[in-house]
Amino acid sequence: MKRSSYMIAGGVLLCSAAALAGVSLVKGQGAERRAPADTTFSALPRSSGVGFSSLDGVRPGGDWPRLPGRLKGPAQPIFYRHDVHAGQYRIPCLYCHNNAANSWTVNLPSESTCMGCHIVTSAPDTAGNPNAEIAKLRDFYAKSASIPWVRINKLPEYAHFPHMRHVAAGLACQTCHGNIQQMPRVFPVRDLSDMGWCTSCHMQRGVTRDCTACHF
Amino acid sequence: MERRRFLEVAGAAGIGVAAGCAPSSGERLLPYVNESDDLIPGIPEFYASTCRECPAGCGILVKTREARAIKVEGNPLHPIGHGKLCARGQAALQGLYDPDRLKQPYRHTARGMEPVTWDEAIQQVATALGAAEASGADRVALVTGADSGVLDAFYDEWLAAFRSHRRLRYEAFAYEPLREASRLTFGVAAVPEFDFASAQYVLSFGADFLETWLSPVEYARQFAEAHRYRDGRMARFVAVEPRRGLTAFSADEWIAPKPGTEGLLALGIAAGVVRQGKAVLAGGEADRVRGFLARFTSRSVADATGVAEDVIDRVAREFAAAKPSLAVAGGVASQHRAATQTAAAVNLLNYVAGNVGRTVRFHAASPWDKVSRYRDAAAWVAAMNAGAVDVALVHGTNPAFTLPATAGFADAFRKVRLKVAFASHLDETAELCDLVLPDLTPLEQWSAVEPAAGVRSFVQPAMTPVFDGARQTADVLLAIAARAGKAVGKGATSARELVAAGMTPAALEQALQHGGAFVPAPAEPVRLVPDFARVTYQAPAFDGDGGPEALVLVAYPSASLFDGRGANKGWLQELPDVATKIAWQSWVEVHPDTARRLGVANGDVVTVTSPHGRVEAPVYVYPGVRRDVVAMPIGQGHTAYGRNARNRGVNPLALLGADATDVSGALAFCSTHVTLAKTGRTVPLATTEGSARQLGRGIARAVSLAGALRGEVEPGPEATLTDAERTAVAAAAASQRARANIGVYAKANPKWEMTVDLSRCTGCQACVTACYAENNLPVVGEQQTLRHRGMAWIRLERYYEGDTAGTDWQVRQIPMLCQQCENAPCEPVCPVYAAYHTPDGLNGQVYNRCVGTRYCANNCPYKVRYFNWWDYGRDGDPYFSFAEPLNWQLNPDVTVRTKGVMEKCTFCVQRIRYAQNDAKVRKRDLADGDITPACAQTCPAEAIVFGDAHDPGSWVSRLKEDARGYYALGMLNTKPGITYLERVIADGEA
Repeated sequence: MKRSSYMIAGGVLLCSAAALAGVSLVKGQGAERRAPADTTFSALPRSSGVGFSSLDGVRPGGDWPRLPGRLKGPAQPIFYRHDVHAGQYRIPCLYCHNNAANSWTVNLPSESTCMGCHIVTSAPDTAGNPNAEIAKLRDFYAKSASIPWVRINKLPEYAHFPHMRHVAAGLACQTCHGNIQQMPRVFPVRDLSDMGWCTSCHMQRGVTRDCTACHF
Repeated sequence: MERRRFLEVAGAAGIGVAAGCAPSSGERLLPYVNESDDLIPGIPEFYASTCRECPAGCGILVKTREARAIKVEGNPLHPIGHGKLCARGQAALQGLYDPDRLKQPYRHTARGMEPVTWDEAIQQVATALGAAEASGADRVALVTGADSGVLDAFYDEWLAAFRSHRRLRYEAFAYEPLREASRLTFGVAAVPEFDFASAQYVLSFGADFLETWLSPVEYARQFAEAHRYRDGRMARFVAVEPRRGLTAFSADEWIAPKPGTEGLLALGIAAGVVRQGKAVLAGGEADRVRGFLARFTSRSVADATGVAEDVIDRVAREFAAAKPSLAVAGGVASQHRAATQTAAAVNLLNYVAGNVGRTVRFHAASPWDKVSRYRDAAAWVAAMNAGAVDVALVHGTNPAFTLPATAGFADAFRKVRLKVAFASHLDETAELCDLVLPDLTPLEQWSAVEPAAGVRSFVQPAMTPVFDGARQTADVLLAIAARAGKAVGKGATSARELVAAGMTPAALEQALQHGGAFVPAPAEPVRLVPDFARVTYQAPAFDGDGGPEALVLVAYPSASLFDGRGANKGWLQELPDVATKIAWQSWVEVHPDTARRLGVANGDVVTVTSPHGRVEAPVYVYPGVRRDVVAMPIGQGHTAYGRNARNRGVNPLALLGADATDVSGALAFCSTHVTLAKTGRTVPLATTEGSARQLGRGIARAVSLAGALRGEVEPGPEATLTDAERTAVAAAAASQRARANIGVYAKANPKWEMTVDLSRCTGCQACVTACYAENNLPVVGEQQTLRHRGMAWIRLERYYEGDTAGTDWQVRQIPMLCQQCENAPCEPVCPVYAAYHTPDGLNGQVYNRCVGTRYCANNCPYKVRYFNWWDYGRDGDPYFSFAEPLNWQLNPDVTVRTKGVMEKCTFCVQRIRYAQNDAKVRKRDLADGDITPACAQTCPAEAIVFGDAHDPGSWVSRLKEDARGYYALGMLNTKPGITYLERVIADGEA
């Protein structure tokens, strides 16, 4: 089976199963591609008494986090809400951004990953109207067109950041990317060209401060 | 397999300095629609394929990142190359991403080149083919380069469908004399397989086997294995040629006979072997051979060749004593009218010494068997002149450039009704064609070739085509056949299906993963034919006035540009010639005495006139040519072929006579006398040469074999230091190092070091081009090269040693790169800590710290730091070096440096960090050999070894303890991280 098909099957599973407690939602990558599902989630505030079930409290159409009056961050081609997916539904970051665990670079999820759920889930609004944003996604997918997401975080090109090392070390994504799970629209929380931010952490933890660890 | 582009960042494609986190920059990130099966962004993928930059067919692995090819390396599983690659192979990427590639079909009209659709083009060809077929047999010509395997057979089948057998596999360097000589001496018209690795004595009669001859990477690997010094043993190499080129730089002895007399010398040596009673012959054969060779006395041979009698006797003695030895002949530079006789004489020499069947082996089939001879190409030109060809299809070869001007190719070609070029680049031949159909480059193609007996080597696309408008020629031919109503290809509809035909999916997958299917081919025993004596030596004739001051023109293949096909690639143009150190230009090599006689000096432009034509080129005074020889490289002088090649230099083929052939039907490249006349103009030579002499600095050292056996080494100037001086510099070094440290030295760290074994290094410069590819080095062009602003982080330095008046002098070559000094002069002078010492022993260079004071370069005694005088990576800069789509090749792991920044070799620190991080996440320790810098990876001679000097078991730790080890400029107390091992020269009789 192709990886993309795994992704769709996994997504359908995610939507249909009532309780997936303890199951890693990161797709199998084999032992050598490490995918620790729990570490990146550790910084998320856990709602009371619901354990780690991803779909606890899902009530389509209602109870989504309220939108603030003014949204920070740039408008995106699709109003994808991290506060709903990562916040309310508690989907682990690595479910979509799975390469963070095994590569220097982090991937945007492919549209087939999105469609894994949204082939089933349409999240109509309270009035029962189909969700316009999901319709956009399905439209992009149907046309085999890439969604032109606006880039939020970018390291300077003279710095090379091994994401997989930081994931393996148990660092929460939120450390650098902020509380994404509370952001209806993602905005940068740190100036990633500020090397002091990197080195202060490296000094605290007693890990390398060699320039050529990142600069080459 | 879905391989859609990922992370295509609009605007800045990985170039320059970013503005940090700026959401308003408008950069877009494009996700995959469907996730790829095997692609992980940030992790490279490798595709096994076959190099098609020359007919040798080395196995390659194409490294891709995010579905773009960024590096080509040798395939360690492949029997040709064994994981090694030459500079030309490395530069295949620049052909792939050449901005001047043909992007869509064109039709030549009176108004110039006009775009046509593929459909129109296919229709036009199909119609013309129908008409040609109707008017008779053999009215269609299909001309390709040397080809073999499944597509080659398909081309023949396709051509036959149009009632034609006018097929040409045209190569400028087709080695016809080797094939013909084998037929005349052994009855097998094949190019044999040579085993340099087990030869104890190599005698080359003009074969440039480390540059272009047959299979240079594989031969370089084998040769280094034999010629390197280890455990008191090494092979001896004697080069016999009128011009000393790269290959002969590795020679322990250079013999320069009169041009054209190499064959006579070989017979003289063979006669010597027989006379000394060392011939491995028996019975009547021995008598016949003895009788034939009797007349080639050392005295008579010495008189005719200009080689001393005692030298001939000594070489005969050494050659026979070495078991086995190997003699090779047939280089293009010595391809004169007696080339076949020379090759036959060398065959005989190998035979009497008992090498045939040992170091010279014949197989039932050789890939060169079907390659057309020059005579066939000439016949094709005659047929076109006679109006016998209606449609000519040219693919993967450029006869308009590589045929001598006097062959009249262009005029004959114009008489063909429809001329179609299947070409990825608009070369001289494509410019003459009516239809120009863009071909894919080999890195985007499907094919399966047979570059050696028992080797079925696959070519597979490493990426989707760079330009949508280009199509693989076999696919187009299938479409044309379908349009013309011909059933060809046994039902296949694409090149991929042709390649996969008859293979199970599992077998195909296996072959594609390994690069091919390799089975050892048995060698066929051969005997000397009874009438071998019919190929006896005769002095070749030379066109033109042969007076006492006559100069013979040696036109030799450029090691980097080959037959000219490398000239469109910036990396190869910028690669200096090893002998002259000139890049980007053409030149005429003239012996110092001849230059004095003619009153010319370096850079003086002379007119070179032969009976067939004239060219103008600057003089380079070079002691490596005989006084009666001038030499010019082949490869420049293009009138088309893209921005790097066009209108650059001159083509010495313009000086040759088209009728000058030898008995095999090969073009005699060395067949004419020329005269040189001063024009009065002088041009600056784009040379990277500094001093031609070491001046006592002991940079590139060598020791004689006899000395090495006694444990001697060549001492350097550091040997003259007193103990007090030593103590004083050591103390200064320690304090300086303490001040330069900012790394973390508390923990145990590796110390990355390198050894370079000069007894292996041949000076082929594959490392230089590999470094360009790996480290995003810009191509600075001729103007900046003239100002010594080349950016090659690793360069080959060449020094002469000994009296260059005669032939008894040596060339010392040394790859010079950042020495990663422990006590580095560059570090303490940097005001901003951009140059600093890393905890693992590198001289780190932090580009984003660098403010461009250039103090470090001033203070570097090795001159291995390079300053960015221009914004080579910024579009709009006058010296922008990565024009779209060349920027696709940029290694995403390496920063593209900006103007005002100093850069240098860091032992491929990106590879070190990649391997370290990879090992960490896999929770394992790094093993010796896990990290290989690009230069060491590609080195065909395996001269460069890299590793952790703190690990006593590592290869590099063991090698640096070798008695031959020394530091370049060691007396400066820089404590380099590179240990050079002295070359060993097997001079004197072993």
